[in-house]
Amino acid sequence: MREGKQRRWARQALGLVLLAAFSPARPGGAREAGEVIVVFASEVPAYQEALEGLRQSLGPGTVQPRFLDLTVAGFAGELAAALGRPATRLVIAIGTDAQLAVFSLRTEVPVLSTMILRSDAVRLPAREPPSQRVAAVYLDLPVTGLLTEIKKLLPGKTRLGVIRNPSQTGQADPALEARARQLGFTPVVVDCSRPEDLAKAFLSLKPRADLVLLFPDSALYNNATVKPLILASLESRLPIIGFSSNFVRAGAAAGVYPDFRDVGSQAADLALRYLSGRAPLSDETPRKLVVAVNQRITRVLGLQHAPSGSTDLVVFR
Amino acid sequence: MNKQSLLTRVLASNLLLMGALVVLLTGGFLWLQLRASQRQLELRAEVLVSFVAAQSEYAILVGSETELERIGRQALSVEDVLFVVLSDTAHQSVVRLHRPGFRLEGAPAGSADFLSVERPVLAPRESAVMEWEPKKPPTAPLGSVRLGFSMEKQRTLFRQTVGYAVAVVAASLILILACQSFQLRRLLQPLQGLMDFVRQVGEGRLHRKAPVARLDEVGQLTVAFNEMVDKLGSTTVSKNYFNNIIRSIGESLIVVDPDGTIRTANQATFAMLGYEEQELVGQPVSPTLVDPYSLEPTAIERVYRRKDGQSIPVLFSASALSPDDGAAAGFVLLAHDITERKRAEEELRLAKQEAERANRAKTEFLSRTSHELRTPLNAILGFGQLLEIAELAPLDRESVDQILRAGRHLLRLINDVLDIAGIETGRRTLSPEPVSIVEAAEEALGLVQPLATGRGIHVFSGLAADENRYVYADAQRLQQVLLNLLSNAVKFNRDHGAVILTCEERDGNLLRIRVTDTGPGIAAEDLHKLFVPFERLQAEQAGIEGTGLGLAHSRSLVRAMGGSIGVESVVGQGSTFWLELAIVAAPLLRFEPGTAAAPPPAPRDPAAYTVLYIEDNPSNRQLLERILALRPDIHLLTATDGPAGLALARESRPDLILLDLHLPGMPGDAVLRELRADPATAGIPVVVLTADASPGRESRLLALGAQSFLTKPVDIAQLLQVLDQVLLGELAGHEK
Repeated sequence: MREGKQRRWARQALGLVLLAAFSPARPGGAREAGEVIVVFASEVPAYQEALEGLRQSLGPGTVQPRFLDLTVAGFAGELAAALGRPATRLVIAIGTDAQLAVFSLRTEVPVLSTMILRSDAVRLPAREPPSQRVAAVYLDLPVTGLLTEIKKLLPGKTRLGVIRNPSQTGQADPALEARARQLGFTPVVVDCSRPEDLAKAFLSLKPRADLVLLFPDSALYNNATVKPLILASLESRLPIIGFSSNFVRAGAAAGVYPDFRDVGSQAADLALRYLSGRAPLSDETPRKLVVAVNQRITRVLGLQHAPSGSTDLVVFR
Repeated sequence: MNKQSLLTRVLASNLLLMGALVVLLTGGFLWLQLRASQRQLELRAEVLVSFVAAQSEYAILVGSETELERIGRQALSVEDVLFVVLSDTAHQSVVRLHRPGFRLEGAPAGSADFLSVERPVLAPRESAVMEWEPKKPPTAPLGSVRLGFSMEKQRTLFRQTVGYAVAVVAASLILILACQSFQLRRLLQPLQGLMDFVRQVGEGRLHRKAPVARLDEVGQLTVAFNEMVDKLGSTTVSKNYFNNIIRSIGESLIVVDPDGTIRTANQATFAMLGYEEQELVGQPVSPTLVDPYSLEPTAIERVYRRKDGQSIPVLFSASALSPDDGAAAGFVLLAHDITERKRAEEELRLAKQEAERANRAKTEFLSRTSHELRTPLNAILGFGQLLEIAELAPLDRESVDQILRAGRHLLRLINDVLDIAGIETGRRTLSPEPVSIVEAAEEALGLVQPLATGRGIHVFSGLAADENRYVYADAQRLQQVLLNLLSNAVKFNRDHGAVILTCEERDGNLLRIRVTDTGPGIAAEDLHKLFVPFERLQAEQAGIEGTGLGLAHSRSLVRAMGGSIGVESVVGQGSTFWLELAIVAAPLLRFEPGTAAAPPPAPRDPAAYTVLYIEDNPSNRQLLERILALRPDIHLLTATDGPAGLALARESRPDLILLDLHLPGMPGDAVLRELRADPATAGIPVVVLTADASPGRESRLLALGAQSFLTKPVDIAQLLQVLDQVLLGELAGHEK
């Protein structure tokens, strides 16, 4: 699936290169000295939240953000033209499609990606120019922060089941189990790389865990696989700690996920630091987490959750 | 068509119409019901198959055939589901489940017995749980779900619906028709009454009124019928009224059809013609009575034939009856029996003939009397004039004067009588024209002036301001009337009195001419006698000369000129005679008689002219010989009758012929014709000298070719003047 996506983007990139080569350059000026290109897809609500945070944090300063919606006709030409202008100093790509669109143009403009999972990030070939600066504000939660929030939420639950896809980057964090133990959990990790094994993997944790922590993985979790998983959770009275608000709404007892608006704001802050020369581009993880609870599920499962401390608690009733 | 058939027709048409409509609506309803039932089943199938497809996603995704079978059995447990087929493309597995008794193998994709619905099982296109991921394009289906639904239930339900619908429709139709039948009978019931009413009207009972039960359309129709019958009643009364009038007409009235058949006639016709009504009506008017087509639409005299063959003269009129379309609808023949009138007319005609004969006899008598009187008078006056010319002793001269005076008086008397008779019988014709009243009065005044002067009477004319006044009159006759009135005013005046002539314009465009005298006046009781012939009142005692015909003659003349004459008198003060004539405009061109003096007579050679006198009376011949003895230039030849005169004229070719009319052997007018017919004598001028002064004689003789016309007794001076004029060729026309 990922190979197919890369081939598709490779074709689009070729088109964008040609458009960039033949597109007339806009007359430059001092006003565009600090121009930042923000590429996003307007169709995804989570991107809109991040974009709002980004726009708010960039503010009306010297940086001139230029927002390009990749769902709008003529986006490719505009992106190529923007990347060709000398005043363009940074590209902020929101989402995986935006990142692919930017990287397909082989630009030397530094690219800051966000709203992507580390496992879905584009792997640049080795032949990419060394001068290219690439960084991201990932959606992958910091393990310590994630486990801390779970501990705060369900302090009585110690046996922490984890379903992990060993083929995905980030989920095979060796520090996970160590950090869990540090926080008082007894981690039970089960590997699962195929959807058809997901229920089996989940049910295997039933006698060994008090709750099951799931990491975001587009290869495993979709509408089809989540429903039996939720049913299994309810039948086996094994709470699921999900990774999105929709997951919590769908039936996970609780969920911990990044604040998308703050992710955008975090990317803006990083960009401003970079543009001002105060810091180089570097990968970051979300600095603000959201903890959500499906009260109906917790009531069914008989869970007693503590009120969240520093983190905002969202309760779905 | 009676009421029953109308009811049946309405019900039948309504049944047909409503039946067709109900069948159409019911069919449409059932079709819609069937479609809705099918659509409902299809929707159920869509929902169920979508649900099963969604349920199968996970099982197919994970390749759990057990789960698929469980889902399939759940789906099969749903009512109407006949079979379930769940296919897993990736794992090449198929779950086939069906109801007992249904053969899934070989079942078609769809049939009339069941509904087959198939849906693909698609891979999840987006991960809702990973809300930051963009939407992904659709991928190949994971498998498929096919469900079969039995349509038996729908069919059963549809059959039940059809049965209910037919029952409801049939019941509704029956109910509607029953209601309509009831309502129509209620509506038609007043019509039945109206029909009875119309039938009675047709039988002539026009005084009845149809009862108006309701004020609906039938009620309004009934009211209209009543109004119509009222008008019809009034019209019928009028018809009877006119029939009575026609029957009461005393004249014959026959109505004839365009083909000439007698349609009807009144009682007067039957009475006049002697037919009974049934004998005449229906018979052709011609030849039974008359031919109407040969008649003018104006009253003319015709003859009707009675039944007994007797002819009845009638005053007849025929007029065509023209109805509105203009085509002749027949004729109306009106006839008035004029038998009595015809008889009266015949009597009148005979009386007229008698009167005319008497008139002719009177005229003849007058003519003969005139002739017989004039003949001796001619000798008396003629010889008297000769004596007057001769040298006489005073006593003899006085005697001659008395003879002449008496003779002339007798002559005027004869002339006036003849003139009055001529005017009253229309034989004397006048020539009215615009006449200047001043000129006419001046002539009369000039004639009367010597008489007035002799008695010291002053004659005043007050017409100076009326120079341009003209009246419609015969100039000579007007002058004659004025002269009569003026001479009377002088004669019946006192010495040294006055006569005043005036005129004034009266209403009606009339001019009143007044002659006022200062005489003794006339008593009122005598005024009506003034215009009676020979009524002279006290004139005889006063020794005033006159014939007693002057005023009568004047009145005849004035009336003949379209005017009137009258008198106003006050005893002791005088009288005023007046006459009124119509005022006319002045003529544009007036002939002014020449004022040049006539040339003096040419010198006369001795015996230069020969005159032939044809006269049977020896006295007259002798008188003329004595007169012409005064003219030695004229040689007189005489003949005593017409043939002798003709012979002598041819022989001697005289220069002039004096011709008497009453000649023995051959009348004078015949002699004149012969003379004019003979080229030898045609150029000889002829002067008629006759005692016959009957009206019209002169004009006839002048028309035959006479040169002049003189009446006896002869005026010697006038005769000599005419002879001179004719002989010298001065007289182109005639002269009296």
